[in-house]
Parts: sequence; C-alpha cells; structure tokens
Amino acid sequence: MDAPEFRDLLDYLCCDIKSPQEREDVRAELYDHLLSRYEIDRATGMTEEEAEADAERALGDRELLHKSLTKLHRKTASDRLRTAFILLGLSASCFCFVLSVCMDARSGFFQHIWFWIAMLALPFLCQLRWWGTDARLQPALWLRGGMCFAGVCALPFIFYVMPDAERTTLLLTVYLCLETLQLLLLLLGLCRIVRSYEQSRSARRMLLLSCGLLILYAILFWYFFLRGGQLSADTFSAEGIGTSVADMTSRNRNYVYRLLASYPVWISLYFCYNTLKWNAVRLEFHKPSLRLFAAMLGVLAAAIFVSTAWYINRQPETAAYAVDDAALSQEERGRICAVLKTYGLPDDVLAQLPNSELQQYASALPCKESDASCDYLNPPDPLLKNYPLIYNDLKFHEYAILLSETETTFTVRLLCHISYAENEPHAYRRRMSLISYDSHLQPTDIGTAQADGPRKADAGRFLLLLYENGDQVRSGQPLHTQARKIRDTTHSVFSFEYAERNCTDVFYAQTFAAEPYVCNEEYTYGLSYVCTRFTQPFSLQFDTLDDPAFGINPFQKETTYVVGQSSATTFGAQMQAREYTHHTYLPLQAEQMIAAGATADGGAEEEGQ
Amino acid sequence: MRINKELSKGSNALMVLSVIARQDMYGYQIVKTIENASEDVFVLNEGTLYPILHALEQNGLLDAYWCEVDGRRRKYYRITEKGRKELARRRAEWDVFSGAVAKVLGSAELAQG
Repeated sequence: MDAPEFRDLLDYLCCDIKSPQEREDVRAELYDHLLSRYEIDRATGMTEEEAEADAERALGDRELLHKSLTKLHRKTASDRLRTAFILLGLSASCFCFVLSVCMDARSGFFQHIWFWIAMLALPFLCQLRWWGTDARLQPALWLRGGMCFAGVCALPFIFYVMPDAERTTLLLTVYLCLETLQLLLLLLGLCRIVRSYEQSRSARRMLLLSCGLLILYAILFWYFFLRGGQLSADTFSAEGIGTSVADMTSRNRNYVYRLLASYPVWISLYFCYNTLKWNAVRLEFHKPSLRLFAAMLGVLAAAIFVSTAWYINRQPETAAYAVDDAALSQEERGRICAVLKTYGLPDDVLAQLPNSELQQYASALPCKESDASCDYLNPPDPLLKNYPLIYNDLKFHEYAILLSETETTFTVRLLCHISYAENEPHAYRRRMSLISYDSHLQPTDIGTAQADGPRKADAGRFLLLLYENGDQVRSGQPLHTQARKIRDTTHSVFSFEYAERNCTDVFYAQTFAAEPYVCNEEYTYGLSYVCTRFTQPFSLQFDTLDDPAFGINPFQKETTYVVGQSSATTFGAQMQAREYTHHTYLPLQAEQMIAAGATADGGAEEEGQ
Repeated sequence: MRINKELSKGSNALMVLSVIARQDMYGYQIVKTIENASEDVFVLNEGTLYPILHALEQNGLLDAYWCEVDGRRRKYYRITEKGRKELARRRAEWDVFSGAVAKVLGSAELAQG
C-alpha cells in the first residue's frame, strides 16, 4: 500500500489560505510532517491504518490549527507584491516631484503641498495595512516614511531660505542617496521573501516583476536626468541639470511627469476602497447585491477620479485670458502699443497683450498712461535717453533684450538693469508670460516674495515674449523658458535657458516693481546671461544704450561674444559697469536726479580712465 | 510527568527558537528534539508548532528554505540574526521569570515548614 495522502485533513487545514502558493507550501510542509510521523509509527510496528490515524491525531485540534493557519496566512504574497509596487511608485513619484521642484519655474510650495501630504500619509498607511505581516519589507517602508517626514519638515527651509542653486544640489544629492538606499533595502527584502519560496513559480514571477520595475525606474531616471542634458562631468551641476530638466518640463513630455506624480492619489483611492471592502467583509456584507453595489461605487469613484484627473491635465499651462481684462480705451491702447512698438515688439504680439499688461507697461514708460498730454504716437524719447527715472520713488525699472537670430547674431539691448545692494530690504514681484507664434498664454503670476536681509527674493517682474517667424514651433506647443536666479550676490544674475532652439526672435523684457527704498550701500549695474545649447554657432552682441538715469552708457562699449559650435556649450558673460558707492537717493525732483547723474558721469569717466 | 499546556504555552516560541539556534531543522524534527531534550516532559502538540514557526518566520526571527528529501519537499528553518537577539532577550526574561517563581515557591515552602 502506498503512503497515505492525508487529503481530507490537509484540504481542511489549508482551505482558507488565500494565496495558492502559500497554500501549496503549507500543505507540503504539513504533509511532510504527517508522513514523517507515519513512517516512524510504521517502524514501531503499527499497522498502516493505525499509523495514519496516529499521525492525524498527533497533529492535535484540527479546528484550532485551521484557524491559526488561516489567520497567519491572511496576507498573501500578492499583498507583498502590492507593497513593492507602492514603494516603487512612490519612488518614481518622489523622483518627479524633485524634478518639478528643482526646475519648474511655475512650481511652488503650495502647488506641491498636497503631494507631500500624500507622500507622508502613504508609507504609514502601508505600514498599517501590512503591519507585522512581513518584517522583511519594513526597513524600506520605514526609510520611506522617514524621508517623507524629513522632507515635510525641511520644506519651508528649502523653499524660503535656500537659494535656488543650493536647493537644487542639496535636494538632488540627499534625495538620490536616500532613494538608492531605499531601493536596496526593498530589493533585499524582496529577495529574502523569494528565497523562502523556492520552487515557487509565483515567487519567481514576483522577483522578475520587481527586477523589471527596477529597470523601468532606472530607465526613467536616465531619461529624465541625462537625456538632453550635458553628458559631461558637470552634469550634476546646477546648470547641467537645469538644462536637461528644462528640456523635460518644457515640452509635452509633461504628461509623463503628471502621470507619475498622480501615483499617490491612485494609491490613496485604492486604500480607501480596500478599507471599505475589508470593513464590508468584517460586517458580513457579502451578499452578491451588496458586492455589486460596492463594485459600482468603486467604478463610479474611479470614473470621477479619472475624469477629474483628465480635466486637470487638460487645463492649459495658464488660465485663459482676455485681452480686455482691464478697462482701457482703444485710443489709450493704441498709444501704449505704439510706444511698445518702438521697443521692437511686432504688431501681432502687441495685439495679444492684455490691457492689464499694457497698463503696467505704460506705467514704466516715459509717457505715463495718465498723462493726457503725452503723445504716445510720437514718443519723445523712444530710447529713454532722457528717461526721468526717479530712484527714490522707484516703481518700475525695466530692461529689454531683443534677440534676433536672423544673422546668427543676438543683439541685446539693455535699457536699464538694477540690482539691489546687499542687506537692503525690498520686495518685488515677478510675472512671466509666454507668447508663441500662434498661441498666447496668460501671464502667470509665479509668486511674490519679500526679503529682508542679505537674501534676495527670488522674484522680480518678468514679461517674457517668445515668438518665431517660421513654422518650426507647432501650434499648441508654446515655447517655454526658464528664468531663475542662480546666485545671490549684490548683482542679480539670472540665467535664461531657451528650450526651443528654433525660435528666431526673442524679445525679453523685465520690469521690477519695487517698494520705495533708500540705497545707502553699494549700487551696481550688472548683466549676466547664460545661453545654453544652441545648435548653431552664433555670436552674442551686447548693444547697450545709455543709462537714462545718469545720461551715459554704463558699459561704454559694445561687446561681441562668439560662442562655439558645441550644443552643450554654456556661455556666460557678465558685464559690470562700475560701482556707485555711498549714494543716497532721497526724494529729489527730476532736475536733481539729472544733476546727480551728471555727478555720477564724472565718476564714471574717472573710472573709465 | 506531563506539563500543563497552559503552563508551557508562553515558552513554546522560546523553546523553538532555542533548538533551531543550534542547527537548521524541519517541523517534525523540532518536535522530537524538544521532546528528547526535555526527556518527554514537553510534548508539543504538533499542530501548534506550525503556527508558531510561521509567525516567527513572518516576524523575521526565522528564515526558511526548501529541500527535497526522499522525493518530497521539506521545509527547513534557520534562525536569523534578529532571531538570535530575540532569543537572548527572551532567555534573559525567562531566567528572571523562573528565578522569581522559584523564589516564591521556596519562600512558600519555608512558611509551610
């Protein structure tokens, strides 16, 4: 007679173990136990029937054993796999988040706070859900939770204290180290789980799937960080990453980021659903009708979520705008446009400028909008040579740059560029708008900042207009650019990275709306541009105009810089005219300012000599 | 002499950890080892062993691996580093507990004498 199979007993003991693989394993283990006992009993002289009965009896209370095994194996391998999925998804989400925070000019604290909340909550939900089930995944979970907690605690510091460049470097360095450690812990935990499931097909599948996810993660990492970036030693410098990430965020690849960034939301919904389901089971709501109802609720929730996500993702980068968003008569509008035209803005771009923008510009122009006597159509001083700028009542400063690639030469026209001395309290706002050839985006207010002390607010008021003459830029793909402050010095140094390389004309104008202030310290003029990744060699010509306040050209000369052919060339130029020290600008009339400018002229000439 | 089940219930995991700490074992072997080591004082209910083993494994105190013996699969358990630490802790706890029980029983005997 063959060895007994103990089928009935084993069937009963293992029938409520969820995972097929675990059920098979437990069954095999118990079968080995019963057979061992059976063989020994047989060796002691028992009959087959006696030995079989004794083996079953020795196993004890079958009811109790059944309950214990069912309870212990309530969590299945698929639960662990879900944990792995969640952890990997969180990794990808964090990754995208860091990218967006570092480089997206439109990102900010409040835009991402929801993300951080989800990131903080999810690891703990994971731990609660699988608490005590498998200790091998706990280190990775705890590390993830710790990372999120630390991230939330450090967020105000990161956003409001650290300068951009340092923020980028620190964030990326710390994040990458922790992420790597977390992935190693996760992989280690998965390997240990799989090792205890030898000969298990599902375990192998789990391992393969995990490896696949890790590879996918690595590909994403490579894609976002390195592709389009500078594959050189300085890849991880702020500028290098900025270039590559600008590539990523500036194109329609944004959907990848959004998809991954929405991962925590999906998982949160899953948890809600799962909790409801478990509660329903506990309350014995297992009737088919109730299950159907629950399924319908789930489908409805999923539909709502998907439609909401779709709607949000369908939103344009900025809200729709109306040209007549502020009261401005056609006549006034025509006058202001006429003046702006003298700055190089073409008619089609001017036609798209909303009234509010025009009004703001008008306030910075030589002729005030409110000045009825001003002849806009014949601006008295289109080049601002006699611009009555009153520094002690500083409202707006502006400079404009006209970049043209028509003869592979970029001409920069500097009207005025103010940088604030260190330790001067000031506040200013920055706005940015993008105009492409056939689409216009509403100027986006990207934040108001105020700084008291040595740190300069990472703000200012921007109006950025990009347009192109050809058809290289397709409809619906607005040009993007990024302006960010890369150093905190007494000079405001910004870099502008043009993600679209085919644009042929770029007009850049910037205004600072500043609070009245008194400058008692150093006062400098400075200009710095970093032009990166132009595919064609070109020269950059700084064609500076006379400084309106002092009646001279602070740079005194035109300078041409020739840039190499490498697409990865980072070109930087900084011109500093001179320092005006210990000037106190008190309430003065325009005549007094001119007199002050004359004094400064003398100083400049002396320095020039 | 057989020990009351309730009395030995709390020490089962300690005994299991202790015997596995000496060498890797499978379920039936563990039962027999405990029986032999206790000179048949502790006769583990075989059915209670496996929930204990599985719980210890899930808590990371034990690791498991499969071998093929006589044409059938056999699951062996080995203690992990975490398990060794836990064993040391529980052993110290047990020493304190058993010492205290002995003291109480000793003082009771003295009082009766």
